[in-house]
Amino acid sequence: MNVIAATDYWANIPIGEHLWLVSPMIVLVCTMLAVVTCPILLGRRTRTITAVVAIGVTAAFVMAIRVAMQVADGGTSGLSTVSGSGMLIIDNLSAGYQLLMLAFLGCVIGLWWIGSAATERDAPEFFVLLLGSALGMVLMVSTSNLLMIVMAIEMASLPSYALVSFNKRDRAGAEGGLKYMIFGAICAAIMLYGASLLYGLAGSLNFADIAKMVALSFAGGGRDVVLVSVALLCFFAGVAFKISAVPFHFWCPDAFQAAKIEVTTWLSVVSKAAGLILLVRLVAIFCGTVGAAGLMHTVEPIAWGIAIVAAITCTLGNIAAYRQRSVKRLLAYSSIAHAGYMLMATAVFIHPDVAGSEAGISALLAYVFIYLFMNLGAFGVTAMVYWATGTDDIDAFTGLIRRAPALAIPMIICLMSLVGLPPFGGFLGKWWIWIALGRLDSTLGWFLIMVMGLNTVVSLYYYLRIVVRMTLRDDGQAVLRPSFGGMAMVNVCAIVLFPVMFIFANGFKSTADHFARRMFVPTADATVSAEPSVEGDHSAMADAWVDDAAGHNDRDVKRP
Amino acid sequence: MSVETLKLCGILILLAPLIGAILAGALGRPVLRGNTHWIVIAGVAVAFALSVVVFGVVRGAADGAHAVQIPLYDWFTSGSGWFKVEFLIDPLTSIMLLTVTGVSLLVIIYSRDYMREHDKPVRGYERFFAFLGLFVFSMCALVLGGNFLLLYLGWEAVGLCSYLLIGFYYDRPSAAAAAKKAFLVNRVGDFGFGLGILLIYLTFGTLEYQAVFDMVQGGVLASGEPIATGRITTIALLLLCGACGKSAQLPLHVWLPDAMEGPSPVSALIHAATMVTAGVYMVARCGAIFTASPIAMTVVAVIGACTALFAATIALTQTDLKRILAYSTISQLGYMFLGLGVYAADSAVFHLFTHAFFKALLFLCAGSVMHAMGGIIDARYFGGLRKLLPWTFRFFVIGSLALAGFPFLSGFFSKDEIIHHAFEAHWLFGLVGLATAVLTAFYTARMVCLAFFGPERVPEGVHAHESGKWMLAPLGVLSIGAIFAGYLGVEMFGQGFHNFLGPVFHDTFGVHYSVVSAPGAAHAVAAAAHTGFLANYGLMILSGGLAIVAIAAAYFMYVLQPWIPGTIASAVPRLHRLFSNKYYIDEAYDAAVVRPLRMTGRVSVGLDNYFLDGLVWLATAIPRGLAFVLRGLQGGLIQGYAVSMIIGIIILALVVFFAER
Repeated sequence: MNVIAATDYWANIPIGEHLWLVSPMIVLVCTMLAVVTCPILLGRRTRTITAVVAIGVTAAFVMAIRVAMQVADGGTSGLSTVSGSGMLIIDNLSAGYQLLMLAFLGCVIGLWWIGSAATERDAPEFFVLLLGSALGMVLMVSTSNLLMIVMAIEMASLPSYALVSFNKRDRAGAEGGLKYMIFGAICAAIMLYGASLLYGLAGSLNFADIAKMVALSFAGGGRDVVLVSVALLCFFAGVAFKISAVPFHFWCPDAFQAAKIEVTTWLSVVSKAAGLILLVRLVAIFCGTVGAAGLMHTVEPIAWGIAIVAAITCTLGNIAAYRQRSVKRLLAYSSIAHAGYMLMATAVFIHPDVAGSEAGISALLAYVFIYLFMNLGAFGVTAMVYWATGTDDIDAFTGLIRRAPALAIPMIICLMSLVGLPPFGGFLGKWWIWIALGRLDSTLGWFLIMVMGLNTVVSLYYYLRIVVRMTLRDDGQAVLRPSFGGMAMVNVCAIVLFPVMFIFANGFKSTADHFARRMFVPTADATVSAEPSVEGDHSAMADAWVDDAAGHNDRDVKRP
Repeated sequence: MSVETLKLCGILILLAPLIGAILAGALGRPVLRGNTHWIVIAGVAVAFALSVVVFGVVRGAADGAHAVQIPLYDWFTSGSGWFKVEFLIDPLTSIMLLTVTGVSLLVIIYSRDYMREHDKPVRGYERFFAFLGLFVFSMCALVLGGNFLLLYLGWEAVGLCSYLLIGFYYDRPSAAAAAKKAFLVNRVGDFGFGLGILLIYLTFGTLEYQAVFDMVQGGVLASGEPIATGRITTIALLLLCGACGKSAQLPLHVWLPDAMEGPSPVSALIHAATMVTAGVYMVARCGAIFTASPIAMTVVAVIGACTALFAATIALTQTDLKRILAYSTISQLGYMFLGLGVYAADSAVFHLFTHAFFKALLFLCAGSVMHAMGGIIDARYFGGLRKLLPWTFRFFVIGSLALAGFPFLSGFFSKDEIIHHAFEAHWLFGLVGLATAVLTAFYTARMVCLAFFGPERVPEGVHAHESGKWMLAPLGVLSIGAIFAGYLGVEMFGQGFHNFLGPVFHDTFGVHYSVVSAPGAAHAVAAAAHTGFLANYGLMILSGGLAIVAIAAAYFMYVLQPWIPGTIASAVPRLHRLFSNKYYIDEAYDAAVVRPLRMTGRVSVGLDNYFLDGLVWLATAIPRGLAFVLRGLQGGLIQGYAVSMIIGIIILALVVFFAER
């Protein structure tokens, strides 16, 4: 029983079982508090602070393992797609993300320790911001409630703005951070506007109810379609901002370039993953609700909207990466392109069979996982080169295969993986999205397959440019001596991409399938919700609409 | 059969050499250096020990369970196809494992000294051992794999290792060229092999050995349709194409003599004892497919017979010891194919087994000579070494006698069996086999005479010395094998080898065997049906006698009356030129294939440089142009961003709006 409804706020305090489920978050909060109080009690020494954070993150990680094990064994776990208020959901998906995120938090802190700790004077503040954004991201993936979504996105974003412009003396950083913040503010405003419209239209903050309302209106039996579309679109802007989909991507290259490289890694890898997982959850709920109501065919325009945004996003990202000389900025554009690929997989929800939609979600989850590793690897190597040479210009990579083979080889694997060439991990991710799209067997699917294929070809050029620089050119620059920890990290990433993922391709995919399947299974016992009466009325009304439109509906929700 | 034991053993047999190789590659240069060999030796030793365990388990199994398919995990799915990582372990597998890991272990131990000069490791010492470990892993994967996909992967992996090791001295142009040649010629064969596997998948819908073989033997597909014989023949011939490449059979044999550019241990291990026998293993493994097509079987036998005779004639005139041995290997592999083609798969595998011992022994001895002669191996530059290298001489003679088919050594028994079965199939095959046996005895004796008898000659400036114990000990072990391995298959000693292998080939090659070893299953499956005592032993006496005569003739011609060979050569100059120029096959390939391809290559380069590059430039011009435009958009002004974003939202809203209408 893992859907925690925090509705009757004080009377229904979660019991111990529930506290265990949120223990990683509690540990994160405690760590933040500890870091804040540490300078007063123990002094501002970077070493002390880092030790505290390391203990905190490790503890959270251990807790996260326990949570993941607790929710892993079926039955009580799993996401309720159509019931519950979904204020806080701890299921396989969020627990899995949490685990990965904490591992990556460790990596990012490690990177920071290697590269920036020596010159850092404001370690406590840095860590408060980092941990704060981490907490926001965990919350983002653990909810399906509009209010929580908005809050979590803000919780994740606000510290990120400050992280980008953390170095007070750096003009570029300040500018990048400011742009990021202004942009974020605009997007937040648009999203809030959309969220309020949706609440007004559906009378519920629960996304499942909203999905019903949307489906009904598209079926012609509910609210005004244009209004609903605009509301959805505006709400979508918030998520699109997080994953930097076009046209909400402008902040991305500037902020990524301005930020310290470990912050860039953090934002490009974990923050985007959080946005995508949130999107997966919303799409799954949408899909489950609409599919159960038998209205899937009516929402095709939404799928087309996603598809077009996805197509433009990846094309734009790839093309803009063409002329970049700064590898950091190039990778920023590359991350935009990859957000496009992943968005494509969400468009698959339109598949008439649940199995088809699941294939899309499963492919997306697999891709997110692979994406984490290939980006961490690529950014990690870039960071290592940057710290050794003082620049992330592509010239700094010339002859890297001689200067530091332990960096160049993982970089090659990560870049090939980003292109999506077999037998590297990235290929598998693309391949599965491709198959999911092919199974759609519709204009939409073939259109996206074509766009993706063309984009892969286009992207080959700029990724290979770096590979060529590293292997075939050499201008006699000095040999690099990167730190052991950093080398180990990027090499582990590369080994996961190839050969581990290649050898265990099927086991990996079936895990993703397993996750995806869970998302569409409405668990009957996941109904602790005692929604406020005013919402209850509205959602009851929504139920009635669904029943009207679908005629009969046996998969619909059982409400208390 | 204890499946769990076999599974665990199989996994560890693969992992141990692989881990050894990885550690040698990763830690060799910075940490281990001159001690790198230890880690690979340890890995391969573990693999060998476990191969013995596997052998024991398989041997102890009841007769009914002679083959066991062990699935490990699902590798990937594609459409409706499932690809699994699985083992197939049966007597054939266990024999191959024993041969591969056993010989590898000895060769790697030998390499410890061989890859040193003045007791200092040569350049690339770590690389050498890492590749050897990788090779053992690949070869074990090849023989353990339970489906055609894994077979293909192992097949290509051993090819890669072979390429890397032939080109070990990559700064020597001839070595680089030889590596390239080996790789390219194998590509030709592997192309057919790949097509064959694809055709198997298209026909049967699966790549699993057991499933495919069952369908072939049943004659119907899973869908119930009968299988066309033509299809089976095509598959068999395509697979044979790969086998010809890997096992250096006509017409793809040209790479093997050149492959002798690699270090001698590599020649012994990869190009004599193990990798080149992969083709034989594959044909034996796919017996169901080959025996279902009489045409394919005939082709196998003809190719084998022709190669055996052809390579033996070339070996008559060569003077480079390693090249003589290379042609001899081709010739012996021809024997094995002949054996397969005349339905004597057990004899072919038996010959594979004995050949591994004596040929590895000969190559390692040649390596020892080379080591002593300062890298020179051409017998024109040295001779009469028997006093200088007494131990190498003794081992070399043992290996040579085994190869020559001297009575009661291992090669005698295994070769004789094949000739015997060849006569049963067709007298012409038998005659070719017999003639080749005579030639083999002759050129082997000639090789020994040239190198070790006559007046003592060494190249200038070379201080000849006997090799150290690291090199001599493996030679000793191998020579014991070369002498006694043959008795495993002899009738009077219970024919253990054949009865062990019999169940694998019983249903396909129709091999007879009797069950004596399996406990609790002492019923005879089929009484060993032998042709008359006289025919069998008569042939033995005949071929043994011929071998002795040929050896004596060689000794007479090359030691006692050394003027004779020259006279014969000048008496039949054309024939001599034909042999010593290897039938001009390299030249013919050069004219017919290599030059036209080179020309095509030049044309392609021109096209690529001027036409395709232009096209690519044009193709990238579009994104580059767009990129230029986009850079304007990302100008850094936040107002511009905001406007673009709002316009974007409006466009999106319009799209959704109109899509809705």
